[in-house]
Amino acid sequence: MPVFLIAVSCSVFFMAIFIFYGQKYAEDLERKHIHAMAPLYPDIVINAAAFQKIALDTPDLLPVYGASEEHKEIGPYQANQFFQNYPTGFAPFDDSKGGAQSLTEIQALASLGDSLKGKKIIISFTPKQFYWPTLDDKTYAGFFTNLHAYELIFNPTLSYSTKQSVAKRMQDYSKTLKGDKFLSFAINELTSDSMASKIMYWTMYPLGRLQADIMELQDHYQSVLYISKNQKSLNTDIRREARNIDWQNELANARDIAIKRGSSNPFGFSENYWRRKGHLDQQESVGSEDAKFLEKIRNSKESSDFVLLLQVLKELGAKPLLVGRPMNDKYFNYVGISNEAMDRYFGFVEKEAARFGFPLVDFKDYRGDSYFGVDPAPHTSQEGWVYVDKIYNDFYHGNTK
Amino acid sequence: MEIPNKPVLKIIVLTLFYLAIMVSLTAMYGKGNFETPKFIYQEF
Repeated sequence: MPVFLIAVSCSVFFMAIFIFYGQKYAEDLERKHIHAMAPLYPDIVINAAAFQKIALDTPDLLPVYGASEEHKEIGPYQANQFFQNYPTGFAPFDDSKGGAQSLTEIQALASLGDSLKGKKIIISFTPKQFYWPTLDDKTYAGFFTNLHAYELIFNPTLSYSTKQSVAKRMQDYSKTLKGDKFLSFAINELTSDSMASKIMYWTMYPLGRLQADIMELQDHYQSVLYISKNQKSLNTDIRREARNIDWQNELANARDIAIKRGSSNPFGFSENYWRRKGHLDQQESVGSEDAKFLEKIRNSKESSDFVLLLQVLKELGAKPLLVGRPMNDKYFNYVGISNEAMDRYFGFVEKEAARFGFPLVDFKDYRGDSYFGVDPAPHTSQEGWVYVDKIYNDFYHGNTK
Repeated sequence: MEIPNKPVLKIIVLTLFYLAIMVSLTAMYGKGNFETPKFIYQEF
């Protein structure tokens, strides 16, 4: 055997060992810092997958996937703050980012693959996603990463038809695919129904999967760099203070804050929102805007994306709790939308959750509580947070009905 | 630099040489880039 061939074989062997132990080292480092990362939700957590996988594997963290409703209205009752000292034995691990919608969450969750199997997670959403979706090109691009896209398109667990449906939606944002011809070509083949395209997709699959695996290693590399760069600010010595939570008392305190912050207008919205809005909407007769409202929901791509999200969660074997938010009926009645029209929205969400067998808390019965949200979306008020915190707590401890 | 004539030594030197190349390439290009374009969420 030529000497150089032996040398090449040896170097590949040592390189494989180096990569194997490098990955182990990275995972250990990520595990060591995962609690410090929990309340920070930096881009590296949202855009990649390594930290999210470790969080899923950490018993005292509850991953939460959502959007701005998880971050807005910072205060003592926002889940990250409320559970920061693990009062009942866990803290939320926030994987939310303002502007996220079902399509972006699908890709993030697909990148977790089998790590999701049997794991409890929260899927948070608001009614506004459905009646006023905002996933334009710019927003979508703010979430798109090749890692998530490859992990979805070349996912070994998801069914062909599910990948095909998501790929069709990804094509609506074709600008994001321009930089990667291989991925773009694979998506084109996946979305085509011809036999030749199917054969081409499966021919590309091993290479695509290999690329996804390489990106997973790169993800660990990035995580190690992030930790070394932010070593000083990542406090691994987490303070844990167990305490019994008096939910009624917390609710009373939070309600006082919400009332104080929402006293500047008739709908209980925060002063900040009200000042930004600057004017009162024109009052409409109740029900006069129902048709428009229902058409928006019916035509919204978010509705079908939401169903796809549930399908992806089902196929990946996750155990999610779907947590919605109520609609402020005082405001929606004022702008012409009846309770019956709102019921159609809640009915849609409830029907889909039941079809996939996922528990759902949509807070439908809290529509009359003007202080649950701080705006029409609604982003959660301090009072609303207490209800949400209790739901997270019950779900983590297995008390959800 | 002349590669030594002894086969075992030759293998060791070449292995180290190839490894150095692979490690350098990994360090230079292995990082990946998962950054997204910055956008400011308007609803805050």
